[in-house]
Amino acid sequence: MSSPLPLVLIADDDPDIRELVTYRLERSGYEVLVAVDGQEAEQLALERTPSLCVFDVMMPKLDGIELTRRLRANPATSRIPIILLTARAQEADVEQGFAAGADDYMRKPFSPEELRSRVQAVLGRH
Amino acid sequence: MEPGFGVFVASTRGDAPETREWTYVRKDGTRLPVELTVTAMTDPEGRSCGFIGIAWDISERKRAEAERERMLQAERDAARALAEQNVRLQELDAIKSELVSVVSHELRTPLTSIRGFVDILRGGEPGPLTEEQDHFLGIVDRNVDRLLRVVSDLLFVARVDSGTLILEVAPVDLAQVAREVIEAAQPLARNHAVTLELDAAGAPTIEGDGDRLNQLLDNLVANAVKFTPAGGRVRVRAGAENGTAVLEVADSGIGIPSEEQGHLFERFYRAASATERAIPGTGLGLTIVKAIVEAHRGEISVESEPGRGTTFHVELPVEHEDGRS
Repeated sequence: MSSPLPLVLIADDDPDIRELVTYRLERSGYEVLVAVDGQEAEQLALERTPSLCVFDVMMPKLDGIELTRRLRANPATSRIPIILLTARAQEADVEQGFAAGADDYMRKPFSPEELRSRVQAVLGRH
Repeated sequence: MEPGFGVFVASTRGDAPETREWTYVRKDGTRLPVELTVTAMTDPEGRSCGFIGIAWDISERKRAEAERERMLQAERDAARALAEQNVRLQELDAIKSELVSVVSHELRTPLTSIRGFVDILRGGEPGPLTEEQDHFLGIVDRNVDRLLRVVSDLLFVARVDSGTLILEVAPVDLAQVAREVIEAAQPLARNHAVTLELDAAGAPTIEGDGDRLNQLLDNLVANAVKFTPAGGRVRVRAGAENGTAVLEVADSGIGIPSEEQGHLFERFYRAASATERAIPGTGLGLTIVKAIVEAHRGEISVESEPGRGTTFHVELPVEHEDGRS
């Protein structure tokens, strides 16, 4: 039996972005788990311990920055790499993301190909 | 109280004279404001024996007082109107900045989907495309680019307005910036059949924000190419003069009439020739150029002759003092 595909958890409140990211990653050899907001993402991260997370920064209920902080603070999820997606372009937002513990940061609009290679790179480092 | 003289003395008691204002009515019916001082008279035995009344015509004083009150009121009204207007302007300004950043943000997410799915379609994964389908998707992609540029230009201007444009200052090799800008502008120049020339001899390394300086030069070069007819040339010079760094973009384009030159850096201003020739643009490019130059404490000037060409000349201090705009 082949080894299971790396599991990537994505969270974005925009359904089209979820579909775009899912399409790109599923076809690039990842299993994709989808959450529609930060709370669901936190729950799924705890239940399934994915290999990597891709979170939108601006999400209802629990935003990507706070979600990153919580996962980092929990020993069960503290080592899962996290890539943040944001539509905001201020340097301060990027700093905030890294300060919360994110491994990488992508600004919208990102190309699906760029996302794939960042996911690959971050997983390669871990 | 009965009408008659009695009313004037009704409240006069004792020794103290009493002064009150009255309005006399003349026989012809006109009115006269007076100040009447009434003093009770007593005979040597202390019995009251009459009154002395002295009336002053105070119509002039009344007029002056009324005038003064009217002016004070007008002043108070004006001050209140100004304060209200000021509050309202501040609110409008905050709404505008908020609007620009929310709109920009809300545009980026859908544009990510459009661009992303176009990329996937053109990559051929969901199935082969005909040449025409690919061509049309190329047009979609180009227009996504255009929208993204407008969004980031608007955001930039909003940032300048709110004073949150912050430079990330580091040593910047201006020759390198000029080379990168020329390189990036080649496809546009080829489309317009315009030749790009670079003279970066003696270009200094300065303290500045490399990305912003790149954006500055890129805007100037893109403008120069857009406003230069096929067969023309655009020359970029990066150098130093009298201890100051110089960036210069000279084109052999259609030029700018002198009466328009003063408006070039105004937000959303577009030269008549740009609208006539349907040259695309938002009128924000030069506003942004000027904001970047000023954030670096530099200066920009323009020289142009219609039909001959335009030269934008930027001078930047080599050392950076204060990056806040």
